[in-house]
Amino acid sequence: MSHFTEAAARQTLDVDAYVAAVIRPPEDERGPGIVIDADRLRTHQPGATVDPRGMSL
Amino acid sequence: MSAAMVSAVGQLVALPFVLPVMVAGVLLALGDQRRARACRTLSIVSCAGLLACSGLLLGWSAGDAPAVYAMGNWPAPFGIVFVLDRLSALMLAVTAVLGLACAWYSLGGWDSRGRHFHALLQLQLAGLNGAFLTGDLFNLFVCFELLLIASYGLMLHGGGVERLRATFHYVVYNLVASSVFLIAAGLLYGMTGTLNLADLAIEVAAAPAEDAALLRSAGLLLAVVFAVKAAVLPLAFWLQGGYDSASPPVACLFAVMTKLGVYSMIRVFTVVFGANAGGASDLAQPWWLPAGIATLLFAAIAAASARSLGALAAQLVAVSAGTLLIAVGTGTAQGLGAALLYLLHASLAGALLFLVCGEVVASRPGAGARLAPGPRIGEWRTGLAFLFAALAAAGLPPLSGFVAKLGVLRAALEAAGAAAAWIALLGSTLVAVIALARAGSILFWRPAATRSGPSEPPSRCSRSQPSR
Repeated sequence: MSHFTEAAARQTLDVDAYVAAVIRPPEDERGPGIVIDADRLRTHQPGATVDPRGMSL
Repeated sequence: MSAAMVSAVGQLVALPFVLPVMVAGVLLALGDQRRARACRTLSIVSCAGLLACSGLLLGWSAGDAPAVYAMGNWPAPFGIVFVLDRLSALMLAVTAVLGLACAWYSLGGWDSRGRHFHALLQLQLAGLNGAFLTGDLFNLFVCFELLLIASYGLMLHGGGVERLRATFHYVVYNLVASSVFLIAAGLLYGMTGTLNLADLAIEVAAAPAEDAALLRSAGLLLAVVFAVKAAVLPLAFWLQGGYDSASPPVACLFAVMTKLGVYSMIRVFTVVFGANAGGASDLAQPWWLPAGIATLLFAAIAAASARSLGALAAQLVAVSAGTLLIAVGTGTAQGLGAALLYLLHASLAGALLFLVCGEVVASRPGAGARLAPGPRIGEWRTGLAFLFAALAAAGLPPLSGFVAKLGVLRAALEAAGAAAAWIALLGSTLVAVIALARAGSILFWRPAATRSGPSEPPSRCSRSQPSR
């Protein structure tokens, strides 16, 4: 268990990895990426985000 | 792991929050008076499910990068995210173990002392799990509120003047802390435009120098909030009354509540106000070690003068909070690793001690858990459980707390103020051993001839003993 907690401590202190995982998900899990039009998002217009399959959300 | 399996396990990340919320709704709809048996079964099944789920997530978290679950597939920082890494998986596992222990022990009669015990327990578990998983400061606040609302009901469960008084203190402390939390979150949002922890890390690091003072103010307000939750001196005075007067299964679950405060400190002050946070870097780090030493010494003195086993167990929870702060205050990976091992151990040891307290109350009619002459406890299993819990709570070998404390001592060697930290750690361990030995001697070994002391009113716990 102490190996696990030591690894957990190292992972917790690795802020860059945390930020990268949350803000920039790996492409192999998310596809080519979700396109976000910030202006459309703010004004609640359709097509603010487009998922990896190209569908307007 | 195949893509389909990754996707399936990815959905599991939300389950520790979603399952208890849904079960709580069903339990409330069922009503616990007419369908008590069904409610108990559902609550136990839910807790067992949470334990199995947390075990899976613990195994899955051993990967390199944290797993992120985006609600509705909205990416951060626009959507709500749950982040599973080793730290959050460890906390989920500890909570699941304590939740199952609480639910199981309450079947002895404690759950029928009031209404909606199991529904409140499930809401409490949902709040705790959500707080450990969330990657967002506002949802951390929401989960704090969810678990606090449930904990108010759980602390009052069983009724009585002492519980009402202790719960009132607890509610006032936490309402003030919640208000401060909201002010801090508002300040941060006003300055950065985001409350996602990862996005905050980017925004705070890039903030202009003229914003540093406000950002530091917000960070220090958050430190105060988490210090209240973790029962850090001088914000720890809600702890003894609250834990001592709560029923044993509730106190068992509450053993993880102070750890939530420490977890929040670690998470927020590592990600948002860590070494790379520009003008707000390492904001609270210099405070943790002295605060931990002060908490440890105060709690050790209070433990030595405790008048009941419940009060002693409550002060040992505060001792564990102080030890954790010292370990976190070293600011090293070695110290944090030792802290996490100690956190795991101390949560389970504290919970076990509260359950033993419940057995002591049941075995000493009229005297309860008061550390004063009374009927000797003849049940050998209760004595053995107390011995085990005492060894664990004091951090003595051969149990894992000893290894964890050694790790904390080793990490403290490299910190500024190492001598004070060592004195506090070793001194508090010695005092804890003496206090536990005294309690064991009074409760289990004192000869019948010396039991004729002055008549004293029954302890709080004795009045709350369930019918068996």
